[in-house]
Amino acid sequence: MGKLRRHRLLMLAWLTSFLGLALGMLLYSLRDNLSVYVTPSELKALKHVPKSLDLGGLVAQNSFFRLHGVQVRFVLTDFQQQITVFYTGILPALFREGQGVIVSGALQNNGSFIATRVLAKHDENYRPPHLPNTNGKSNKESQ
Amino acid sequence: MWHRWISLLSPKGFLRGTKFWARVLGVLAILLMGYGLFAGLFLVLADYQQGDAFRIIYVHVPCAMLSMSLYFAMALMSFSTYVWRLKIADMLAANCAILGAVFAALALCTGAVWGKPMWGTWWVWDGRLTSELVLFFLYLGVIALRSAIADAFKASRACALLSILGIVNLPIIHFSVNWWHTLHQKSTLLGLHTPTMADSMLWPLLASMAGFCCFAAWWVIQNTRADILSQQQAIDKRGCA
Repeated sequence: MGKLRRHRLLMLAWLTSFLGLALGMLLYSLRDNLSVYVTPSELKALKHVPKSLDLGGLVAQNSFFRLHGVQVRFVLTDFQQQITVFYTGILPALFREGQGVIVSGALQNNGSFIATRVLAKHDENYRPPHLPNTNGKSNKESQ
Repeated sequence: MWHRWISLLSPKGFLRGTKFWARVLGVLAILLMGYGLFAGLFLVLADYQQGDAFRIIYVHVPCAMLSMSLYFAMALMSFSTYVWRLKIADMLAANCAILGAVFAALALCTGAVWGKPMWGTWWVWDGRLTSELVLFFLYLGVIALRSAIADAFKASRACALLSILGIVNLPIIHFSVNWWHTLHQKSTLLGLHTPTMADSMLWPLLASMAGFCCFAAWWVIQNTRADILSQQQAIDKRGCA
């Protein structure tokens, strides 16, 4: 019986470690495709820019303008590169300057970006409105 | 000391040994969940950015945490079932699967309800959301597999194997927000920069999480007790006939 148990134990150990290894290799080779967005700097470094893509970064301070109705324009930045984004539609509740957002759309020939969807990214900080920010880095998501 | 724990491994010993502690867990669950949810949903001030919408954290985070801890518990029980053929561990694993599936579904639903107004979308195929969905399907797979095999012994072995192999998903869920750019935020409680939540908001959350844990333990133990009793009843009936 002792031998049988050891055999079962060993089999489980081999099975899980092989599966873990296989999955680890799979995720490692897919790592570039598993992220939901690229940053403006990553986009500039791309040799081949896809037709439509998701771009993530912060809405630059004092860059938000309402053009006409729900037509808006803002600058997306990662503090190294920045891209002007045009969007027509309703913005999520967390959208504001300094906030992390993910925009989906297409890069235009003139270097601006026309978005068909804007998602606001929330950070992991929570506090009531009257408390000062003691977290050091609030609205900036670590890129 | 040790023989008290070992006596829990037999169905009769489990019935005897858990009677009192299951009640204690039930009372603790009511108290902690009562305080955590009431304080979180009514007393705590709204968040500086999200307003009242942030209150869903008092349900979402405990559900998400338990969907993962219950999987870990199920895998542990499955391991004991597979290697030592413990009947009681198999029963506990079967009950963990059901409650775990419920919590995974709740975590996905509450997240979607929060995501629509805050992010601007119900769903996005990012690392965190997708791996949690895989966890939900793993639970459903384990439940389906058990009811698909008529022979109880074969069913328990197959379920144990699937549960143990599925554990590779747990680190993926946990680290997904650090490994990839995800729409889902990083962990508030287990993050590097602690605390990233004001104390007045944190205590009800911790109480709620502890309360949900007690509830889960109580639910799994009580259902396992019921399973043992109904099995004994079936054996008794056969003995009479």
